[in-house]
Amino acid sequence: MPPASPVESLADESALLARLKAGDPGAYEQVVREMGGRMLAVARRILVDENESQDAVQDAFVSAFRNIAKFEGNSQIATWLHRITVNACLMRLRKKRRQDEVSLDALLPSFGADGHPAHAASPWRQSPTGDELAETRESIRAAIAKLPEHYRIVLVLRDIEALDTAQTAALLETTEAAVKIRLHRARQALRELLDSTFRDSSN
Amino acid sequence: MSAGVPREFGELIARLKDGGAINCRDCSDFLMAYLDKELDPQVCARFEQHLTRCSSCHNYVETYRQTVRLAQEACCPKANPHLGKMPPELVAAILASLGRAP
Ligand SMILES: [Zn+2]
Repeated sequence: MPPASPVESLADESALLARLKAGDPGAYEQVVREMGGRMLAVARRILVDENESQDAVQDAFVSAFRNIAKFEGNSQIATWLHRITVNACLMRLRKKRRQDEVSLDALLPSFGADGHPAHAASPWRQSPTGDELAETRESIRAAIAKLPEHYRIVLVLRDIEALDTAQTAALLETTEAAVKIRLHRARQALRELLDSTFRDSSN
Repeated sequence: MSAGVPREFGELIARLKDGGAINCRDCSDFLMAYLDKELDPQVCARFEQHLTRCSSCHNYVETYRQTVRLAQEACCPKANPHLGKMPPELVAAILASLGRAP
Protein backbone atom coordinates (compact mmCIF):
# COMPACT_ATOMS: atom_id res chain seq x y z
CA MET A 1 0.00 0.00 0.00
CA PRO A 2 1.27 3.50 -0.74
CA PRO A 3 3.01 4.57 2.43
CA ALA A 4 1.88 7.55 4.42
CA SER A 5 4.54 10.19 4.52
CA PRO A 6 6.62 10.15 7.67
CA VAL A 7 6.97 13.89 7.29
CA GLU A 8 4.52 15.27 9.81
CA SER A 9 3.06 18.36 8.17
CA LEU A 10 2.65 19.89 4.76
CA ALA A 11 4.97 22.70 5.80
CA ASP A 12 7.68 20.12 6.67
CA GLU A 13 7.00 18.41 3.36
CA SER A 14 7.50 21.52 1.28
CA ALA A 15 10.55 22.53 3.30
CA LEU A 16 12.05 19.09 2.69
CA LEU A 17 11.23 19.32 -1.01
CA ALA A 18 12.92 22.70 -1.24
CA ARG A 19 16.06 21.25 0.37
CA LEU A 20 15.99 18.28 -2.04
CA LYS A 21 15.71 20.60 -5.01
CA ALA A 22 18.58 22.66 -3.67
CA GLY A 23 20.70 19.48 -3.61
CA ASP A 24 21.09 19.42 0.20
CA PRO A 25 22.90 16.14 1.02
CA GLY A 26 21.27 16.06 4.45
CA ALA A 27 17.84 16.10 2.83
CA TYR A 28 18.75 13.19 0.55
CA GLU A 29 19.98 11.24 3.52
CA GLN A 30 16.83 12.01 5.53
CA VAL A 31 14.60 10.76 2.71
CA VAL A 32 16.63 7.58 2.20
CA ARG A 33 16.61 6.82 5.92
CA GLU A 34 12.96 7.68 6.55
CA MET A 35 11.37 6.28 3.42
CA GLY A 36 13.86 3.67 2.28
CA GLY A 37 12.39 0.90 4.41
CA ARG A 38 8.94 1.39 2.97
CA MET A 39 10.27 1.42 -0.56
CA LEU A 40 12.24 -1.74 0.14
CA ALA A 41 9.07 -3.39 1.44
CA VAL A 42 7.36 -2.47 -1.84
CA ALA A 43 10.24 -3.91 -3.87
CA ARG A 44 10.27 -7.11 -1.84
CA ARG A 45 6.56 -7.58 -2.46
CA ILE A 46 6.98 -7.15 -6.20
CA LEU A 47 10.32 -8.82 -6.83
CA VAL A 48 10.53 -11.29 -3.90
CA ASP A 49 14.29 -11.77 -4.51
CA GLU A 50 16.22 -9.78 -1.90
CA ASN A 51 19.16 -8.69 -4.06
CA GLU A 52 16.91 -7.62 -6.90
CA SER A 53 14.76 -5.71 -4.40
CA GLN A 54 17.71 -3.79 -2.96
CA ASP A 55 19.01 -2.98 -6.44
CA ALA A 56 15.57 -1.73 -7.48
CA VAL A 57 15.37 0.57 -4.46
CA GLN A 58 18.78 1.95 -5.31
CA ASP A 59 17.68 2.51 -8.93
CA ALA A 60 14.55 4.23 -7.66
CA PHE A 61 16.29 6.67 -5.33
CA VAL A 62 18.94 7.55 -7.89
CA SER A 63 16.27 8.14 -10.53
CA ALA A 64 14.08 10.11 -8.11
CA PHE A 65 16.85 12.46 -7.00
CA ARG A 66 18.12 12.87 -10.54
CA ASN A 67 14.62 13.95 -11.58
CA ILE A 68 13.75 15.95 -8.49
CA ALA A 69 13.44 19.14 -10.53
CA LYS A 70 10.49 17.57 -12.38
CA PHE A 71 8.62 16.81 -9.17
CA GLU A 72 6.01 19.51 -8.79
CA GLY A 73 4.90 18.69 -5.29
CA ASN A 74 1.34 17.89 -6.32
CA SER A 75 1.58 14.60 -4.48
CA GLN A 76 3.43 13.68 -1.33
CA ILE A 77 7.10 12.81 -1.65
CA ALA A 78 6.33 9.29 -0.36
CA THR A 79 3.63 8.78 -3.00
CA TRP A 80 5.96 10.00 -5.72
CA LEU A 81 8.75 7.70 -4.51
CA HIS A 82 6.30 4.80 -4.33
CA ARG A 83 5.45 5.24 -8.00
CA ILE A 84 9.11 5.45 -9.01
CA THR A 85 9.91 2.34 -6.95
CA VAL A 86 7.08 0.35 -8.54
CA ASN A 87 8.40 1.39 -11.95
CA ALA A 88 11.97 0.42 -11.10
CA CYS A 89 10.74 -2.98 -9.91
CA LEU A 90 8.68 -3.59 -13.03
CA MET A 91 11.67 -2.76 -15.23
CA ARG A 92 13.68 -5.42 -13.40
CA LEU A 93 10.83 -7.89 -13.53
CA ARG A 94 10.64 -7.53 -17.34
CA LYS A 95 14.37 -8.20 -17.69
CA LYS A 96 14.27 -11.32 -15.56
CA ARG A 97 14.34 -14.64 -17.31
CA ARG A 98 10.83 -16.02 -17.26
CA GLN A 99 10.69 -18.93 -14.90
CA ASP A 100 8.79 -22.07 -15.67
CA GLU A 101 5.37 -21.12 -14.55
CA VAL A 102 2.93 -23.52 -13.07
CA SER A 103 -0.31 -23.43 -14.96
CA LEU A 104 -2.98 -21.39 -13.26
CA ASP A 105 -5.72 -23.70 -14.49
CA ALA A 106 -5.18 -26.24 -11.74
CA LEU A 107 -5.82 -23.51 -9.17
CA LEU A 108 -9.06 -22.25 -10.69
CA PRO A 109 -12.46 -23.67 -9.75
CA SER A 110 -13.83 -26.25 -12.15
CA PHE A 111 -17.45 -26.81 -13.10
CA GLY A 112 -19.57 -29.47 -14.70
CA ALA A 113 -21.48 -28.89 -17.93
CA ASP A 114 -24.50 -27.86 -15.86
CA GLY A 115 -22.49 -25.08 -14.16
CA HIS A 116 -22.22 -26.86 -10.81
CA PRO A 117 -18.86 -26.77 -9.04
CA ALA A 118 -16.71 -29.92 -9.03
CA HIS A 119 -15.99 -29.24 -5.34
CA ALA A 120 -18.36 -27.33 -3.07
CA ALA A 121 -16.72 -24.43 -1.22
CA SER A 122 -16.54 -24.61 2.58
CA PRO A 123 -16.34 -21.72 5.03
CA TRP A 124 -13.00 -20.76 6.59
CA ARG A 125 -12.14 -20.50 10.25
CA GLN A 126 -11.25 -17.15 11.76
CA SER A 127 -7.65 -16.15 11.13
CA PRO A 128 -5.38 -16.91 14.08
CA THR A 129 -4.10 -14.43 16.62
CA GLY A 130 -1.04 -14.31 18.86
CA ASP A 131 1.91 -16.57 18.18
CA GLU A 132 0.27 -18.32 15.26
CA LEU A 133 -0.37 -15.05 13.44
CA ALA A 134 3.18 -14.37 12.24
CA GLU A 135 3.49 -17.92 10.96
CA THR A 136 0.17 -17.69 9.14
CA ARG A 137 1.14 -14.42 7.49
CA GLU A 138 4.44 -15.93 6.40
CA SER A 139 2.58 -18.82 4.76
CA ILE A 140 0.22 -16.38 3.02
CA ARG A 141 3.19 -14.44 1.62
CA ALA A 142 4.70 -17.74 0.45
CA ALA A 143 1.41 -18.62 -1.27
CA ILE A 144 1.37 -15.24 -3.06
CA ALA A 145 4.95 -15.88 -4.21
CA LYS A 146 3.84 -19.19 -5.74
CA LEU A 147 1.36 -17.55 -8.12
CA PRO A 148 2.45 -17.38 -11.75
CA GLU A 149 4.28 -14.09 -12.29
CA HIS A 150 1.74 -12.73 -14.76
CA TYR A 151 -1.03 -13.01 -12.16
CA ARG A 152 0.99 -12.36 -9.02
CA ILE A 153 2.11 -8.95 -10.25
CA VAL A 154 -1.47 -7.80 -10.82
CA LEU A 155 -2.56 -8.99 -7.38
CA VAL A 156 0.38 -7.20 -5.75
CA LEU A 157 -0.17 -3.93 -7.63
CA ARG A 158 -3.95 -3.86 -7.17
CA ASP A 159 -4.62 -5.48 -3.80
CA ILE A 160 -1.39 -4.78 -1.93
CA GLU A 161 0.04 -1.60 -3.44
CA ALA A 162 -3.49 -0.26 -3.91
CA LEU A 163 -2.99 1.03 -7.46
CA ASP A 164 -6.23 1.33 -9.40
CA THR A 165 -7.13 -0.66 -12.51
CA ALA A 166 -6.13 2.12 -14.91
CA GLN A 167 -2.74 2.71 -13.24
CA THR A 168 -2.02 -1.02 -13.23
CA ALA A 169 -3.00 -1.40 -16.88
CA ALA A 170 -0.73 1.50 -17.85
CA LEU A 171 2.25 0.13 -15.90
CA LEU A 172 1.82 -3.36 -17.35
CA GLU A 173 1.07 -2.03 -20.83
CA THR A 174 -2.18 -3.91 -21.10
CA THR A 175 -5.91 -3.19 -21.06
CA GLU A 176 -8.09 -2.57 -18.03
CA ALA A 177 -10.21 -5.58 -18.98
CA ALA A 178 -7.10 -7.79 -18.95
CA VAL A 179 -6.10 -6.43 -15.54
CA LYS A 180 -9.54 -7.25 -14.16
CA ILE A 181 -9.49 -10.78 -15.49
CA ARG A 182 -5.97 -11.42 -14.21
CA LEU A 183 -6.74 -9.96 -10.79
CA HIS A 184 -9.83 -12.11 -10.41
CA ARG A 185 -7.98 -15.26 -11.45
CA ALA A 186 -5.05 -14.43 -9.18
CA ARG A 187 -7.42 -14.04 -6.21
CA GLN A 188 -9.18 -17.28 -7.10
CA ALA A 189 -5.87 -19.12 -7.35
CA LEU A 190 -4.65 -17.66 -4.05
CA ARG A 191 -7.94 -18.64 -2.45
CA GLU A 192 -7.36 -22.19 -3.65
CA LEU A 193 -3.80 -22.21 -2.27
CA LEU A 194 -5.05 -21.01 1.12
CA ASP A 195 -8.12 -23.23 1.22
CA SER A 196 -6.49 -26.24 2.87
CA THR A 197 -5.00 -24.02 5.59
CA PHE A 198 -8.13 -22.11 6.42
CA ARG A 199 -10.89 -24.59 5.73
CA ASP A 200 -12.98 -24.87 8.87
CA SER A 201 -12.49 -28.47 9.96
CA SER A 202 -15.44 -28.29 12.35
CA ASN A 203 -17.77 -27.99 9.37
CA MET B 1 -21.67 -1.57 -18.48
CA SER B 2 -18.61 0.49 -17.76
CA ALA B 3 -15.58 0.48 -20.02
CA GLY B 4 -13.16 -2.35 -19.50
CA VAL B 5 -15.72 -4.86 -18.27
CA PRO B 6 -14.94 -8.25 -19.80
CA ARG B 7 -17.07 -8.97 -22.84
CA GLU B 8 -18.48 -12.12 -21.22
CA PHE B 9 -20.85 -9.87 -19.28
CA GLY B 10 -22.74 -9.25 -22.47
CA GLU B 11 -23.19 -12.98 -22.97
CA LEU B 12 -24.38 -13.49 -19.39
CA ILE B 13 -26.85 -10.63 -19.58
CA ALA B 14 -28.20 -11.90 -22.92
CA ARG B 15 -28.62 -15.37 -21.45
CA LEU B 16 -30.45 -14.00 -18.39
CA LYS B 17 -32.75 -11.95 -20.63
CA ASP B 18 -33.58 -15.16 -22.49
CA GLY B 19 -34.86 -16.56 -19.20
CA GLY B 20 -31.67 -18.48 -18.33
CA ALA B 21 -30.69 -18.96 -14.69
CA ILE B 22 -27.51 -17.86 -12.98
CA ASN B 23 -25.46 -20.92 -12.13
CA CYS B 24 -22.45 -21.48 -9.89
CA ARG B 25 -20.00 -21.04 -12.77
CA ASP B 26 -21.50 -17.61 -13.50
CA CYS B 27 -21.13 -16.69 -9.83
CA SER B 28 -17.49 -17.64 -9.92
CA ASP B 29 -16.81 -15.81 -13.20
CA PHE B 30 -18.54 -12.58 -12.29
CA LEU B 31 -17.85 -12.48 -8.59
CA MET B 32 -15.31 -9.66 -8.80
CA ALA B 33 -17.66 -7.57 -10.93
CA TYR B 34 -20.33 -8.22 -8.33
CA LEU B 35 -18.08 -7.11 -5.46
CA ASP B 36 -16.96 -4.06 -7.46
CA LYS B 37 -20.65 -3.22 -8.04
CA GLU B 38 -20.22 -3.33 -11.80
CA LEU B 39 -23.18 -5.61 -12.53
CA ASP B 40 -26.38 -3.94 -13.58
CA PRO B 41 -29.02 -3.93 -10.81
CA GLN B 42 -31.18 -6.60 -12.41
CA VAL B 43 -28.30 -9.05 -12.79
CA CYS B 44 -27.00 -8.15 -9.34
CA ALA B 45 -30.36 -9.02 -7.75
CA ARG B 46 -30.31 -12.43 -9.38
CA PHE B 47 -26.75 -12.99 -8.19
CA GLU B 48 -27.77 -12.24 -4.64
CA GLN B 49 -30.76 -14.51 -4.97
CA HIS B 50 -28.45 -17.34 -6.03
CA LEU B 51 -26.16 -16.64 -3.04
CA THR B 52 -29.05 -17.01 -0.58
CA ARG B 53 -29.91 -20.40 -2.06
CA CYS B 54 -26.48 -21.87 -2.76
CA SER B 55 -24.24 -22.45 0.25
CA SER B 56 -21.22 -23.31 -1.92
CA CYS B 57 -21.34 -19.97 -3.74
CA HIS B 58 -22.07 -18.16 -0.49
CA ASN B 59 -18.97 -19.76 1.04
CA TYR B 60 -16.97 -19.03 -2.09
CA VAL B 61 -17.82 -15.32 -1.99
CA GLU B 62 -16.94 -15.10 1.70
CA THR B 63 -13.63 -16.95 1.37
CA TYR B 64 -12.72 -14.92 -1.73
CA ARG B 65 -13.22 -11.74 0.31
CA GLN B 66 -11.17 -13.23 3.14
CA THR B 67 -8.41 -14.08 0.66
CA VAL B 68 -8.06 -10.44 -0.37
CA ARG B 69 -8.11 -9.27 3.24
CA LEU B 70 -5.60 -11.90 4.38
CA ALA B 71 -3.23 -11.03 1.53
CA GLN B 72 -3.39 -7.35 2.49
CA GLU B 73 -2.80 -8.06 6.16
CA ALA B 74 0.06 -10.45 5.45
CA CYS B 75 1.85 -7.77 3.41
CA CYS B 76 0.88 -4.66 5.39
CA PRO B 77 4.06 -2.85 6.53
CA LYS B 78 2.46 -1.62 9.76
CA ALA B 79 1.52 -5.15 10.81
CA ASN B 80 4.84 -6.61 9.64
CA PRO B 81 7.49 -3.99 10.38
CA HIS B 82 10.35 -6.42 9.75
CA LEU B 83 9.40 -6.43 6.04
CA GLY B 84 10.49 -2.81 5.77
CA LYS B 85 13.83 -2.87 7.57
CA MET B 86 16.42 -0.95 5.60
CA PRO B 87 19.88 -2.56 5.78
CA PRO B 88 22.50 0.09 6.68
CA GLU B 89 24.66 -1.12 3.75
CA LEU B 90 21.86 -0.25 1.35
CA VAL B 91 21.50 3.25 2.80
CA ALA B 92 25.25 3.67 2.42
CA ALA B 93 25.22 2.30 -1.13
CA ILE B 94 22.43 4.65 -2.20
CA LEU B 95 24.09 7.69 -0.66
CA ALA B 96 27.41 6.68 -2.22
CA SER B 97 25.85 6.26 -5.64
CA LEU B 98 24.46 9.78 -5.31
CA GLY B 99 28.03 10.90 -4.80
CA ARG B 100 27.12 11.97 -1.30
CA ALA B 101 28.46 9.30 1.00
CA PRO B 102 27.58 9.88 4.65
ZN1 LIG C 1 -23.91 -21.69 -6.62
